[in-house]
Amino acid sequence: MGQRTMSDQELVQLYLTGQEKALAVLIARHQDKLFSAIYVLVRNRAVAEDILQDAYFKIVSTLKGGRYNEEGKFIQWAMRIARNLVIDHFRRGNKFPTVTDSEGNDIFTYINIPEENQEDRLVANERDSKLRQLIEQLPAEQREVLVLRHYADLSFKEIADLTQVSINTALGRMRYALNNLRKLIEKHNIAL
Amino acid sequence: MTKKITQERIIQFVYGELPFEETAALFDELDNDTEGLDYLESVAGIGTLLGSLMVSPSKAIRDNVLAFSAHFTEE
Repeated sequence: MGQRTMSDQELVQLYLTGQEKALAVLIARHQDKLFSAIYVLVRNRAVAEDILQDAYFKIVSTLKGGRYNEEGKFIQWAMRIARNLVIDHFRRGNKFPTVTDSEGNDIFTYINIPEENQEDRLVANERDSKLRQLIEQLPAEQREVLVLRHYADLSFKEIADLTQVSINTALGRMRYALNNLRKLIEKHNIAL
Repeated sequence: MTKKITQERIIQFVYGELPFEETAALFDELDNDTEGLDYLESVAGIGTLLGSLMVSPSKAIRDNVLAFSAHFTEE
């Protein structure tokens, strides 16, 4: 017999009946997308983890407080909460902090790299660190749509709704983001 | 290549958002459009590169959230 995966909405409903395990499944399902999106935007692992945790606290408070009336996708709602927290973070005057090692590499890029040996890992770390710096050079609106589409896995329609622009504007920003990123990648000799 | 339209359609295709009927038309157009094919390849390549930046939060975040939820009381 085929098994059907429970949808996010079904998990939310289950959680609202008191099943805490449903929240664990929702977290496991979306935490990498949310965290990667936040991390690319704030470029600091500790800050990204704080923001992700605060986002989940707000999600729990809203759900358990009986204030959840979202009709859209859970991930879209969660990303909207996370995005507002990222905006708050930068409104407080925070820039793009990084912690570097003696070689000048971002130490947080050493984590979660799948390559097997140390040499591969170092090459991947250097490439990823450069790539993060290039993404940072994109105009904010382009960087945001790139992150929301690629990491948070929101559709262009969902991004348009979230950022209150038309779908054509969201698509156009993505096009500029990719084209600008491609030029930067070529300029810095990163292999595609 | 009709840059503005086709580039955006290629992006939609790469991200799985181009409707099926438009996908077939795009394939036909790409047969005679090397510039479009190059663009498709580069967008897909950037996508792969960006994928390498996917990261996971520490397990402590999950544990903190679950503990927060288990002890949550509305003020």
